[in-house]
Amino acid sequence: MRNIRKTFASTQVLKGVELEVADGEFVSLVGPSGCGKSTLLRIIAGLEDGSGGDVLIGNRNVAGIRPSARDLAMVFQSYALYPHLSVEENMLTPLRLRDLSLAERLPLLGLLAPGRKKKLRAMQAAVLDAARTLKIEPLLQRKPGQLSGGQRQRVALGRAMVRKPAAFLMDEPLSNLDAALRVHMRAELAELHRALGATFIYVTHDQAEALTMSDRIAVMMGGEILQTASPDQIYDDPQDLRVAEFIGSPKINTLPAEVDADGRVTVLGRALRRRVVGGAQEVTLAARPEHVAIDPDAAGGGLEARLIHKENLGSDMFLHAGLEAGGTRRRLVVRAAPQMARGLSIGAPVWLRIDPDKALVFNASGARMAFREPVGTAPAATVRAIAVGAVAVGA
Amino acid sequence: MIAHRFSVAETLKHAVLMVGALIVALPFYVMLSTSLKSPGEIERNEGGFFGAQAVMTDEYCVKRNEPERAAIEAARRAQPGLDETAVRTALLATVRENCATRPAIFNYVSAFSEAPLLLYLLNGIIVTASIFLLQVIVALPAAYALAKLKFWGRDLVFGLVLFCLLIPVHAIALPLYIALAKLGLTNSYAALVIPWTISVFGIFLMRQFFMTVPDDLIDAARMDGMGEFSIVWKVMLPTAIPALLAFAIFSVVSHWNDYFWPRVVVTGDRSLFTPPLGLHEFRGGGGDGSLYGPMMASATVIVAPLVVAFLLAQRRFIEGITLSGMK
Amino acid sequence: MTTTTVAARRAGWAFVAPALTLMVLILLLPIAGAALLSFTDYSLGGSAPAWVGLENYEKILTQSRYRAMLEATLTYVLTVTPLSIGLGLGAALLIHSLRWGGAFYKTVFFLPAMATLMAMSIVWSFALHPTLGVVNATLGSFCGTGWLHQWGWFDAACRNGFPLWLGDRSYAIWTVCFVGVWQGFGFNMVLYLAGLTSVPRELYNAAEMDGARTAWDRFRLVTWPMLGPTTVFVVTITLIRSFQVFDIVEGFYEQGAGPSRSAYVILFAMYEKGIRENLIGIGAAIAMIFLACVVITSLVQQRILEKKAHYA
Repeated sequence: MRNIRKTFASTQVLKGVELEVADGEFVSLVGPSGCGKSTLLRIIAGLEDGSGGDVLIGNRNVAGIRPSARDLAMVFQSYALYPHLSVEENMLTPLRLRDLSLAERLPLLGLLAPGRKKKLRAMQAAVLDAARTLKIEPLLQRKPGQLSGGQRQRVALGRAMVRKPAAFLMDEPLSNLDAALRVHMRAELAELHRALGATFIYVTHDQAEALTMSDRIAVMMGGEILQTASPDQIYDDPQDLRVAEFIGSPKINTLPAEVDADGRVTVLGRALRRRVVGGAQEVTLAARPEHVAIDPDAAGGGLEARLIHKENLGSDMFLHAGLEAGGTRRRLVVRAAPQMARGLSIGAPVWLRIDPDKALVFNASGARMAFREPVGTAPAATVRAIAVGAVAVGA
Repeated sequence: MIAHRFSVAETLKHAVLMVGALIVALPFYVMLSTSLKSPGEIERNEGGFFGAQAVMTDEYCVKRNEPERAAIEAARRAQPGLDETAVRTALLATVRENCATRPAIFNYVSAFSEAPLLLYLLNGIIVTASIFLLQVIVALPAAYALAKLKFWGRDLVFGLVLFCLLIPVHAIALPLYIALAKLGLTNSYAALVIPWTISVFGIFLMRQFFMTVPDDLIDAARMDGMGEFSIVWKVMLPTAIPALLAFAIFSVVSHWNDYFWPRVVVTGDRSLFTPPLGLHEFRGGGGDGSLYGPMMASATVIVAPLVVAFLLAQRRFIEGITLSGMK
Repeated sequence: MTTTTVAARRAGWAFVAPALTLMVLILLLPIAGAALLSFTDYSLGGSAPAWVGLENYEKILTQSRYRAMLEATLTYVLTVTPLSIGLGLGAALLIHSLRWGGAFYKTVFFLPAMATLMAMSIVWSFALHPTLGVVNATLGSFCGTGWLHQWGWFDAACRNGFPLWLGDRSYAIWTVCFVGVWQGFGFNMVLYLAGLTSVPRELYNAAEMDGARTAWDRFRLVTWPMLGPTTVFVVTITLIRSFQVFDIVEGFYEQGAGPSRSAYVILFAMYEKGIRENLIGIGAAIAMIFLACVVITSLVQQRILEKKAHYA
């Protein structure tokens, strides 16, 4: 049972980070650039020293242990292939350095060392094995300079695979590929993870990569892990406003709202039919574009707004609606079916309804406020009915 | 964890590099120190870096101002009680007193008075400056044409430039020397400058630089009604300043320091000596300590301009001098 | 459109014409001239030159004075090139790995490349002076230090006096080499430092992850191969500069080229024969040999670089 636990306390880049990764898990560290996710990965790898805290790999504290002795493999953003070595030699390198003694690696004298040939043959077999898995056998004799970006990516993976490490560390490995290849490699990496059954720790700034591949996501910001949870939970149930805003495209809509002493939420003078845990205060109400419905008239009792812009993506239509809230103009993005949206013209008044079950409430410091249970059944049902109705109109 | 610990490896590296630095700096130390010391101190190898700077007599000065016949006669008339030898001795004592000086001053004054060092320096400036100016005048338009103008034979000319890059100037010194001799040009500024007017390296370098200038800039200049000639000097020259500066440093340093070519074409006419030639001439005497002081002072004066400039603008100098690496 | 093309064509030729003319007159014709002269017994102001065929080259290959020339030149080139490259690389590696103070050493080591070599050769000849020089005085002051006397050479020198570095024929060429290395290695160091800063850091990280434990492993796996192109270039330029050694010999010796011509390097030979003794034919033949050495070096470099073109 190996698991990687990491407690860490530093003043600058990382402010006390705790992360536990189970054996065989695919965990993504996601966050905007400069949030410390790469630093965290490099500390796990041993390429950088933490100013405090411990890294445990399978209950072994690896503080002071060299990167190569940690039984980890890393895939770098630039792939970091040795340009003067062929693909095969690149993949052999970690094995040669691990399994051959210094004497056996000497330029000429090494050839005389006994048993070297046998070891080499075993290594070559391991390389061939990895190459087969990655379908790069025909490339083994080429130099990295003669490969495409995607091929180099695979070679870098292969070099990591041959050692059969306890965990793979990946530092934005797809960011140097073009968009189409990136989507393709996403699926391939996820499959590779399933096939190898190995632990992956994957750093990315691209939420789509994190959402599509991971078992769990750790969202990092300003040197902290804000939330660690499954992709579904991160998306539907973010515990922090910053997580809610970072994950999801288009970005989640936010509106200023108030909570009274009973926990009732009021947004723009309209009561949301839910109550939260907590006393009277100013809060932020957040709703994803698919959790806001749009009406062409006031009959649904929505918030009045004006349609500013339509974004047609073919399968969906994102409608941008402007409304006045607390003296400032706010822009809300609503997902609608194209057929329904076609009837609306830019500049026309529209009415927006926020799904109260899906809406998220955050307090002034950005922490999530839970709804009070049990849910008031009757009103919720009505709302749901309206929501379904809206979809029905669209379909 | 490791960051702030005292490191044995680091200390060891500094120790090795420091020994190297001492050896590298040794001749500079010797040169400066010797240029400050008195002949006695040099001969006995004492006095630390600055020497004692004790008052000494400038023998050259004494020799120059030896009391003349007429002065001795005049003095005898003024002081009738003394015989000739006594007057002479007294006068000489005054001269010696007037010729008293400090070693550092003596060395530097002799450097300029015993040989026309000022003239050598002036020659050095004239030669290096004319070489650089002519190189730019010849190379810049050619580089522009090779980089940006399409004309029949362009590739051939560029091929020729690349071929000429292979030719070391030393290999053609003899035919050039003969040609200059036949034209009666040896022992002239022309002989020192002409062979260097064509810098294929300069053409190559500027051409590579101009290749990176966008065509749009030139087309815009043409739209503004500029001719090709004004494009070279009013558009390309200003954009090329950084590259030109590096080339200037390369050119000036190599020609200020050049000894071989002046040695070949300047035979005997001291008024044309460049600094390295003058210094070599100075060496002639050899031997005793009274010469080493002024000689080291001359060497310091010759070496100083470039070294000081280098210390002030290291990055640019290193860039300029390693340019020859681009060949 | 066509008017600009025609103008460009005309301007093109007008702009390259001066450079082309000078290139032909100053570089190409003299090369041909030197080649022709090397087959004659031409001398300035002498009688009409006669065609002597390969006689000049034969002399160079057979006469002892030219044997001395080849020996001195090869000794110098084959000593200075590896030493100044090795020291340059070593200094660059050390400086690059320093946490502080690297800039200082870089400045000091580069100083000799800036300073007038003629002046510095004269200074060295003074520093190495048998009685006045600081070198022998310093060495002498170590006499009596016990462990140094284990070293036979030092022990003997303490008893019999330190060598005449310039005047003793068994030391002269090596002293010239020493000054050559002194002058040249800082230049190579700067080139290597530039090469080192362009090695991607991620490669070192990858090597670390792959298990390159020792500094030697990292050097073998990353540094040395990544410095390959720099090394090709450094070797070429150092070879070419070594063939051109002249100032040091002139700075060291008032006349001639050291005791029993032990520092009779090729350019000095060319200068002595062609200019001082007015034997231009033989001087030209020496020049052609010099040219061949330099051109072959450059061509070999280009071949190697072309082979490794797909490197990055």
